[in-house]
Amino acid sequence: MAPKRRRMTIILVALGLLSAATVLALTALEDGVVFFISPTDLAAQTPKPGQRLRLGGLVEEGSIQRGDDAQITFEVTDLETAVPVTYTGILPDLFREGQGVVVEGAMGADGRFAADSVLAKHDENYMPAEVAEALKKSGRWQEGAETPATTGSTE
Amino acid sequence: MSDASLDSLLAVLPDMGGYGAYVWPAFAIAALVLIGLLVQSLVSARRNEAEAATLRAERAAASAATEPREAGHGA
Amino acid sequence: MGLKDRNRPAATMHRYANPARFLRLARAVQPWAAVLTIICLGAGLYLGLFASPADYQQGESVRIMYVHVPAAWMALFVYTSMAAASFAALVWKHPLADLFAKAAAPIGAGFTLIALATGSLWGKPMWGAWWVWDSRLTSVLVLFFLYLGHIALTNAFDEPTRGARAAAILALVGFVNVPIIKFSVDWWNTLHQPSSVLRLDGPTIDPSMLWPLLLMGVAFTGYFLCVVILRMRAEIAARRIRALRYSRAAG
Repeated sequence: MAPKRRRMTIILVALGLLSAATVLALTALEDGVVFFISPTDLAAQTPKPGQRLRLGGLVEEGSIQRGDDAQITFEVTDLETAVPVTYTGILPDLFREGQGVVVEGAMGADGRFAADSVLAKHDENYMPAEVAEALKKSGRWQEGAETPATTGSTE
Repeated sequence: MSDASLDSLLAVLPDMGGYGAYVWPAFAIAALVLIGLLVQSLVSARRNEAEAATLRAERAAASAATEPREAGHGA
Repeated sequence: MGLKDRNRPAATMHRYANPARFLRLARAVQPWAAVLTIICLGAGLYLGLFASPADYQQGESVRIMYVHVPAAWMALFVYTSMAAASFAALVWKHPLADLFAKAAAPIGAGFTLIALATGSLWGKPMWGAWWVWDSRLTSVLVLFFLYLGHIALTNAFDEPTRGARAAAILALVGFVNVPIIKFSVDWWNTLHQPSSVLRLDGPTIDPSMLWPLLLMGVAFTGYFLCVVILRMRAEIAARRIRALRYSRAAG
């Protein structure tokens, strides 16, 4: 019995240490692990011009303006801060006002975020269109603000 | 499979609201992996179990052949 | 060497006692698991591909969910079961535990591959990218490599027990990745959305879409059970062949 107990203790202690080390490493590397930052984070850290980063949030309602040649400007908001974004190119099918997006690029000198890629982010709600309509009609629809993830706020 | 035959296959299947080119390959990849694993596992189980049975039968035959002599010694 | 030889008959007895009982159980379970798999797969595929509604946002592309999500569940479930078996193998030297881990690893790798490939096919039209290095996708890719490493380690040694031991240690060490995968979407900003089914406040999927998803989940679980039993049977037979050849060569 004794060697079995000893083996179990060794394994459990080793796994405990390994988990602790992993938690410490992931906490220390938090900035590298997050996929995008929110407009509020961006406003707080004032990145160097040309520094590449990803910005995530919702496309502000009524902010989409289409220019010539697939050029588009819109605002990305976390419902606290909004950042104007410019982009030229093909947009994902899910891109629309009120939708979660992650844009990649750099802040321009003009205070606009110049994106060279736009990714759409969808939430964890799945339902048929009729159900979505019914929810909207009955007023039980929460637009946008369902989860921190869709609004892009970190804690 | 060539692009042309893939296109004609996709043309026969429901177009999935324009997402057929993503939906059908997703199911096809899943089917390919799962069927491949199943067939490989079935074949190796059959083959190994048959070979083990043959070896055991050979050994049983060999020990049956030596047994009477040993019994004779004992008596 | 002398010590090992003296232990051999006892070890062989130990190795055979349990597999015989396991094989009887396996033969009883297998047909039921197969029938369950076929029924749930048929119903799940019909509902998922044809009878369930399109999503209000994602349209028909949501049907990829019915293979992607169950495959991802199984990728995590199989690894968790391998880690548990490896713990039993290292602590109690249970003869079937190593056998299970060895049989399960290729199936887990297959499920992970399916989750990655179908996720990519879903990500392109919805997100606008085949692949992104967010923490969910990256940690699942790490899981795939852990499976491949497990398979490689198991077969890397001339003596199977040493390979099994090294692989068991890898399975336990790699287990820290499982909670990271599960909670990555809650802990960090990711492009991947949070869980829809396995969450504390209940599923956020309409019942008409949840049913095919759950049916496919049961089908994949049944498939795993069938194939893992087949692979364990194949491995038990392979060990018998080795033992019989060894005794023939020795005698």
